[in-house]
Amino acid sequence: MNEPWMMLIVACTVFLIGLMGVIFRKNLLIVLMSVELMLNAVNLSFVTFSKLHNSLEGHISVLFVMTVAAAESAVGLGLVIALFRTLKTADSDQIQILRD
Amino acid sequence: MFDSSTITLIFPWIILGFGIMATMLASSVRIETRLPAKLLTIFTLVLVMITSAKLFNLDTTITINGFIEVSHLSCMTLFFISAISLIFVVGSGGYLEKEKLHISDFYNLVLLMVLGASVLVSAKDLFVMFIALEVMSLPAYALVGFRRNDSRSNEAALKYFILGGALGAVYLLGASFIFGASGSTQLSQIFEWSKIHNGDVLLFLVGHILVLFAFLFKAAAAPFHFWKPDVYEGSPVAVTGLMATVITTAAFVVLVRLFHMVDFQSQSFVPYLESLKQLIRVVAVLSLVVGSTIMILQKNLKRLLAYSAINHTGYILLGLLGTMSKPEQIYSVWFYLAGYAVISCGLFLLLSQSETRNDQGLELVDLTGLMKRNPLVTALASIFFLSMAGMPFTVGFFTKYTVFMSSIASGEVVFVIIAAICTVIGAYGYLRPVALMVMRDPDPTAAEFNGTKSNQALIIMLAVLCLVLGVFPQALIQLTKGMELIP
Repeated sequence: MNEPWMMLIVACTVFLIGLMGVIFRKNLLIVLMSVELMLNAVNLSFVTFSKLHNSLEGHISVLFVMTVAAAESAVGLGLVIALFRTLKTADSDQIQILRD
Repeated sequence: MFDSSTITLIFPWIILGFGIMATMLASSVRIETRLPAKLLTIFTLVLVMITSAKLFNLDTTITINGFIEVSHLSCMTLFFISAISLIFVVGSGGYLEKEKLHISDFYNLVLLMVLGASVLVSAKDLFVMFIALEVMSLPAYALVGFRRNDSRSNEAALKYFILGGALGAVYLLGASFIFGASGSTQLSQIFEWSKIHNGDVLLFLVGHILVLFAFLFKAAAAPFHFWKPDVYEGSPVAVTGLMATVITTAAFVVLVRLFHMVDFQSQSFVPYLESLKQLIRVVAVLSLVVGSTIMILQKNLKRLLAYSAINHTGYILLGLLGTMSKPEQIYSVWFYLAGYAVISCGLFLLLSQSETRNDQGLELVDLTGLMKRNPLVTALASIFFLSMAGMPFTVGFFTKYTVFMSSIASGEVVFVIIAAICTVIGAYGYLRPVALMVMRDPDPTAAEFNGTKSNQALIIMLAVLCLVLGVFPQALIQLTKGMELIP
């Protein structure tokens, strides 16, 4: 039973890479890609657990997560384009109109 | 499994689905034809209200395939969510016209959001919750960024989107851990598992904390609140109102379900209950203090209301704390949510009447001396602000009272005292706009308030409801007492 836990470590590492990308990267497109990376890491962990429990639930979940991720990136890209039209930038450091 | 009686049980959701398709078709014909879309939306929401009220009368508690629960709790919240969105759809026509946002896509997105919220409140499966959460959030991102040519609206939408997307992934990671530990994503099976399981629960606990973290974020409890003021300020007022009512209600129903996911009487979870209580205490006190103190420093009215929402989140969490050892106290949370939604619905509809000189949104100074120019609006706004502060004879008093009582009953006296102090600090923040309106002389640069007739009528109705519930809260309390949480 060694392999499932190895896969879990890989999944968590990929998830953390994605999280770091969301927090630290400045380019909005890279941030969007990092969110997708986080979702895909979760897919990996779902598949691992469903292998562990011998159930199909996790496998089906993966298909749903992929669909949701596609819809999410469509909305996200739309928002980035709308922002780029008004502010002419995709750098998150320069987008600071709303603050206390 | 799936026969004709099941179809009647999921009628509200089917109607919502058809309504969404119809409005989508209506907006694809010509985007400026807004009347058919608006009428279709109103029709759909009324039908959803009727069908969910019928289900409520049936006195049923059925879980369809372990995914969707049809119970008093879900039917009542569904009725409530559709009623609130109906009020917003009817009342914000004039505002959308004024802001040049009145296109049929608005109604389509609102219906989609309502569908997501209504599935969310009845979901009994971690995965269905995720899908519903995304169905609710994706239209919400689009609605927040609905003023496409306004950079503030765009920025708010993008901030909301990135945080929401990342938090969705965090939620899923937690759900996968829970799935790994218990072997199921259905809440009822997880509950059964927690009863008989004894041994290591670390994987489950990590998953549970991650899942809770995601929804505390959605409900904007204090260390995770920083997105809320920005999103409130940037989005159109009608959308802010929908977020403050529909999304908050749905997020809290799920939060309560997630908190009561495991059987705390079971051997392996008894020590966990105490640390979970500690977590809620910290989050609740932080929300109360941050919300009430930063609120009194705000100049922008929407930012003020955002911090007030964070403050109210603290009270609701306090009520939740009371339910951790006494689950029958759960009605205080529902009662608070209902009262808060009525107040903020009225207040945001009132704000949507404003016409400011500058484009920066409604500032506090825009209210200066409103009493002399527009006594009706002043009276209505004062009722809503005082309700928020928790004055006696308004609904805000009884919501706070029940929450305090429920936490005192489970021995959290220190936290109730902290909450009472925060209420006093917060009252200053709510009385400031009232004092500005009543005590100052009119200011020529201040905002004008012009509402359509339907908008005005709805606001008066909600204000009367605030006062009536402030004197006779028994009916609503009885109704919320029927909304039990079924594991």
